[in-house]
Amino acid sequence: MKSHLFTLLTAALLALSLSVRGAHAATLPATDDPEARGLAIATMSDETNLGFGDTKTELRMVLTNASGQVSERRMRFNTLENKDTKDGDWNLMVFDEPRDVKGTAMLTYSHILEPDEQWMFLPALKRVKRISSVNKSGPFMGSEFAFEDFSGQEVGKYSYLWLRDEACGDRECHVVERRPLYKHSGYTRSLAWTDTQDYQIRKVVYYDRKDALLKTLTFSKYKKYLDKYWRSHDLYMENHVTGKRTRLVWENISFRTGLSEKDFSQNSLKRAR
Amino acid sequence: MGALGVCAALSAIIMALTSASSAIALDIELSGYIEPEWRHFPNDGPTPTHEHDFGSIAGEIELAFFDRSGDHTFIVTPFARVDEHDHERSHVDLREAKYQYVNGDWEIVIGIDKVFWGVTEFWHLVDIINQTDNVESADGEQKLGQPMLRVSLARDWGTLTGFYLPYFRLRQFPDPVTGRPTPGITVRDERAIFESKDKRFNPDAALRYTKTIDVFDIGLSYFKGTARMPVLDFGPETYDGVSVVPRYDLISQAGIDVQATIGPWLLKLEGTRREQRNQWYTQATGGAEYTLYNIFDTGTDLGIVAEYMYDQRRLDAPQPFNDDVGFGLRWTANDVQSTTLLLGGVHDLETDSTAISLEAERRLGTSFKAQLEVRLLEKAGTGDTLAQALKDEDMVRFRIAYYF
Repeated sequence: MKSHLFTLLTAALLALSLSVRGAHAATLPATDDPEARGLAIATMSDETNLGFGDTKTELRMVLTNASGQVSERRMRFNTLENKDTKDGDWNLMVFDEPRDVKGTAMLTYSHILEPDEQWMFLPALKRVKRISSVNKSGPFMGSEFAFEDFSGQEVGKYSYLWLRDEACGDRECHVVERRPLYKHSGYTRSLAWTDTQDYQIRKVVYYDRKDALLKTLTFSKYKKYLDKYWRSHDLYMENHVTGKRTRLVWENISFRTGLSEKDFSQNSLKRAR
Repeated sequence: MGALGVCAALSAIIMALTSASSAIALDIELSGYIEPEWRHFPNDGPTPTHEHDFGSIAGEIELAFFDRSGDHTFIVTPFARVDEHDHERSHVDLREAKYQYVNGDWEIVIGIDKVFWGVTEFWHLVDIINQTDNVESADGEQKLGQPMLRVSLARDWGTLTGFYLPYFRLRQFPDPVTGRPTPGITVRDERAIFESKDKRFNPDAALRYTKTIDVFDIGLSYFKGTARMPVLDFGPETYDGVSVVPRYDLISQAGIDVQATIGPWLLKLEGTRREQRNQWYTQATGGAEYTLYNIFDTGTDLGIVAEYMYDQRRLDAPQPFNDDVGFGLRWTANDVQSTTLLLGGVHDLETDSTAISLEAERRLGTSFKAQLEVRLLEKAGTGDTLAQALKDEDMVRFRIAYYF
């Protein structure tokens, strides 16, 4: 009975912490239940993004190889929040640069454990192709990002294990190990540093299929939108094996632009520009 | 319509729109490419006037105007090529010149546009809206702009699109004196015979319905109008021993195309049932594409495609895919330069004719792309008249495009 009461109390505190901004680690499940604590941290982080509606963003990808050569990509990325929290968001990505792929567009209905549904539009042939979503771990546009690194980060995609709390820059972070539950991931696990104040991810370290250290992703230049939604404007991915780096710069982000399901159809994929 | 007429009309439209754009806040986007090309045919052609090497340059400009809401769009995409020897290959085409209006589920397009239907790789069977730009490439992938009125409605039950196609585009053939690849006969485009009394102005119509159900992407289509592929009939009325007059029949065609996307497998099927000159016949193609991702931990992908092609008319079919298998390997490097290699082969099970192609492409720097293409007729089967006619037309092509 006593433990039951404790669980209830924890749940109540957790619920309270979700509604109160700047929640403190004290309201999380105790450190002797690292799985529940890890899940709670991920859930709280996810909840900070709840209700964003839709976003239109412009982004720039700067690729640097081991010898320092630089090349750039530019694209636009529209996202529609799925009101069904048990399912993933919808994305439409349009490439602007390099110029030879201008107008190439990709529509994704992401799911949590089921495979995503993806279509690609090839402007030269005016052809829409349904593509396999198995390829979520391959290099995205020759970069150090894989599609899975910046597609939906829904809570249900991973199992969690809280490892420790430690300083991260000028903040305090929870360090949580995530193991993908979806198929065809390129990683056995990743470690995510989530700060204890705003519950935003500050750093992720990825381990490959053989559990060897592969990449580090650092999030910086966070800005708050609509007084609630945090977005990092600078995502820096370093590949420790190849020495290559990719910086993803989110240049313009607009929220609640009036996008609807109609803007994420195959017809709109052909029109995307 | 002459090239000059097109240019004059275009510049008038562009000037009108440019001045309108400042008045009603239109966004303007300009992009395109310019692409020098070299083609080499190692074997002698049917006559000494048929050249071995062709220098050429092509360019395409897309000029797009759209209002801030994105509901109204106007796009003009002229294409032009100048070829050193082949006068038929030197040509101008409006790939697009369209006004597009979107209102919720509805989309309306008026003007010249390109539309693609289908799922298979080797033979685009159900795809019929646009005429093939036959002088551009031998693979049939390049299309001429088609004048149309298109209305589309996208709802939960699927997407339904209606097409009205008021004008027919003739298929062009290489210059009979110098041009290649050539089957060694002259096709007299200018004397083309039409079954329709309205000739090029026959009102063609089409309907297409598409729907995604789980792993299946399904398309159903119907077309009634002039066939895009001419019949080259070597009878006394159309063939004088040297040149042949192409004949364009009226057809009705019902088509289906389905793709199932299951893990790394893409399973594809296209089929048509067609009526032409009171004869009904079935055509079909289908197969599988399987992709091996991150082969040997290199970060590169290898796709394997195998498809079968069938025409009920078998050896009487006036097109090459009657009982053929196609096999392809597509290697994607996933590197910064987007390097890809495509190796393909088509084998005719009845005549043993075999054609092989290799295509390689790679970005150079940020704005250039190099493409190498090799096409070989490995074997021309006995009794395969088309393959026999093309047996000396092997080709190497190299292009470097500058994109802006």
